[in-house]
Amino acid sequence: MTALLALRPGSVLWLLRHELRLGWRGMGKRMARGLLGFALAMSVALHVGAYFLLPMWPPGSGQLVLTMLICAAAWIAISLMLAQAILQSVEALFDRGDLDLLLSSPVATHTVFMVRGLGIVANVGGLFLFLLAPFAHMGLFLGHPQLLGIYLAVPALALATTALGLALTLALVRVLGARRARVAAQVLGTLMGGASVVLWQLPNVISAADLQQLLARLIRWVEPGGPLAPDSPVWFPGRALVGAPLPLLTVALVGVVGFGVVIGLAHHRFLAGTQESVTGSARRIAAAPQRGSVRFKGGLWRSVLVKEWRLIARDPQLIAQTLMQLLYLVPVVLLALRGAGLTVLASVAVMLASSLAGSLTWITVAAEDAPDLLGSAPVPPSLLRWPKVLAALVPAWLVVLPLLLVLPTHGLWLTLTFLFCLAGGTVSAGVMQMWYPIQGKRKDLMRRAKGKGLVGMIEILTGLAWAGTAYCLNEAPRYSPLPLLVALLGCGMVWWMGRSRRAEMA
Amino acid sequence: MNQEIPQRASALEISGLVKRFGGLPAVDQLSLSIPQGEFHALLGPNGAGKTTTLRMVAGLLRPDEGSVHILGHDVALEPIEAKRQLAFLPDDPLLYGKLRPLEYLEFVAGLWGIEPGVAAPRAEELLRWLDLWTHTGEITEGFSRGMRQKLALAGALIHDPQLLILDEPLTGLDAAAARQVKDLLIERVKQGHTVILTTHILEIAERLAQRISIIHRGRITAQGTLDELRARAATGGGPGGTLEDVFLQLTSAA
Repeated sequence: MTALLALRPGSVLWLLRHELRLGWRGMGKRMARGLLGFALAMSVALHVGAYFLLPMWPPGSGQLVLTMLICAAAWIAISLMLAQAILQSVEALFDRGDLDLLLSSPVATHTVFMVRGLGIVANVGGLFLFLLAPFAHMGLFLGHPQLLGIYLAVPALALATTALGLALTLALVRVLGARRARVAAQVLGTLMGGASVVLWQLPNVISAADLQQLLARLIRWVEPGGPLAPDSPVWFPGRALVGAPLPLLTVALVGVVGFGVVIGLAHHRFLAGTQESVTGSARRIAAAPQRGSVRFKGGLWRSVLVKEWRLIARDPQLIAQTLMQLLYLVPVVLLALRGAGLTVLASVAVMLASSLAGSLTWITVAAEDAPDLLGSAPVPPSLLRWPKVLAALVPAWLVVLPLLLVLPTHGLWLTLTFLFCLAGGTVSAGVMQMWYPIQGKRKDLMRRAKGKGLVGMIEILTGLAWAGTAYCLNEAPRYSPLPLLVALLGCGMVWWMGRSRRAEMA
Repeated sequence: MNQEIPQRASALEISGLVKRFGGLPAVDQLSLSIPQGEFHALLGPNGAGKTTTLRMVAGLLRPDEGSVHILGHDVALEPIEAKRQLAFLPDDPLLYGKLRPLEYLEFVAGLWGIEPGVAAPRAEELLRWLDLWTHTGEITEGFSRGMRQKLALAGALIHDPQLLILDEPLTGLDAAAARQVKDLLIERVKQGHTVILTTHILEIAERLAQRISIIHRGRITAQGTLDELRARAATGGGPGGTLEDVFLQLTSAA
């Protein structure tokens, strides 16, 4: 501790300690304590799991299949890390308010950039190291000391993906300008993360026979002489994780050198990008002013709806999240095409639309940008909320609307039950935001569940219950009152729990 | 400014206003009457209760005790009618970063129920007056603080309010923009509207305001024209020179 306190002010380690402290305190005391407790319990469970899994390490040829699976998992992890690195690079460039202070201080910009990069590395690699480290520890006792390579491989992969993420984000800034780059990077990062999750679903989506065929083909490719022979660099990330010396050394070198090169070469771009994002006013995109006479359209409902839709349409984070929701539909669509039936698809669409409606209503109702303006307007607050809720529901409905092209061809009952549950799910999600209001900011969309506790869980459960109702009404009608009751009960509970909050905000 | 004030109905009548935060009074039995057509400045040190008072006047904060009337309308009992007469400009107005200036003004006009045929030319006039017309194609997130402040002011004026309340309206404005805003406010008072502003720049209050109220620890400690305040400070043993001298003497004595 004394050594930490004695760190030279302005040094990389000193600044890194500051970053980590901010990150830790940013969580809030309660959440940090909760997280620590959860992490401890999880770590124990992971160690126990590793203790029982490692003896199953297959000998001889079986290792090839296992290594192949580890390599596939490593590549999915890399794409998740990269997605995270891109999103965090955007935050480092655009969303951190302390850059003015840091960049105007005598600390070298190179140091600031490096520490920002290392902060991203810690965030990107921390979770994976936490999940994999128990295998390294148990490996020591169970005859697999090479697994200690995890401690080198994960940080190296995090360094490499962070370098790539930073380079991609800065390249986007150079090509598109700060504002557009922010949108593009957020969409790219979110889609990459979503696509990685969808990839995990591959075994569920394709048939067992197709999976066998795919595996057989892959095994042929990985045999000596094949395009993906075991000595191919494609395997290096996975083999580094299991402690193979050459891949481990290579991955470590690529990580450290890649990170060093990006920091060394791109820190001027970082500075330029940061300044462009901070002093946006000086480099505003020249836009043609209004031509001809100004025309307004009146009406409270119209004004509120148009304003909310404009803000939704111009919000990159929201667009990225919406695209990701659509991406999650892909495996379900494939499942439906494989014969799981349109009922499953309709049910999942109800759930996704409800979730999207919840997010959008939170944006329009809770994350209002100018509450003082609305508060001082000569309109009762209750009158303002309804167009805001409607503004959020319409995009959620539009997203699943294409289903109406298919469902009527499979029966009127399916179509009607879908519409009923879609309306129920989305409206429930919308009104729950009003019944249990939590003020927030648009940028906190992804963290909106924080602080909601039980209500957040009820929200999710209610969406699931409406999806279950849609399924049961078609496949098991006698059970349909059960999920419907859960959905209505969920709404009732949120209404009841939010009484004091509503009274406070009235 | 002309120091003679004709007797008219009150634009703002505050009576026995109290607001406590965590048991501590931020505003403590504050009473204030401001006639129509007056330019009134509300001065006070940091944390004196100015912003809390204004937020209660604007209906953004519910008082624990007391009442606020705007042109005869009780803010608690007739909030819609009261708010229709009023525009409140906070010290750091939040705009919608993704809207363009005309889109913002169209939305504000919709909130106040202004006919589109009336609001559109007024929006153009205001944006031209405030030198924002050439920026109508840009979204406001790239605007400087001064530009945002001016756009918020345009939003406050789009419905031609009888009572305009501004919390530190000149913060962040350059000299030219500050001059524009001051001219605009003086013009409104000449037309018979009422303007109330808080400012920490005493010179502005000294030059613009017909009457000044000094608020300290949630109470009005002095009120009157500049001459009256000087005289009061002088009787209290103070120097009675500039408004700054008077202000410091009155707030330290309270």
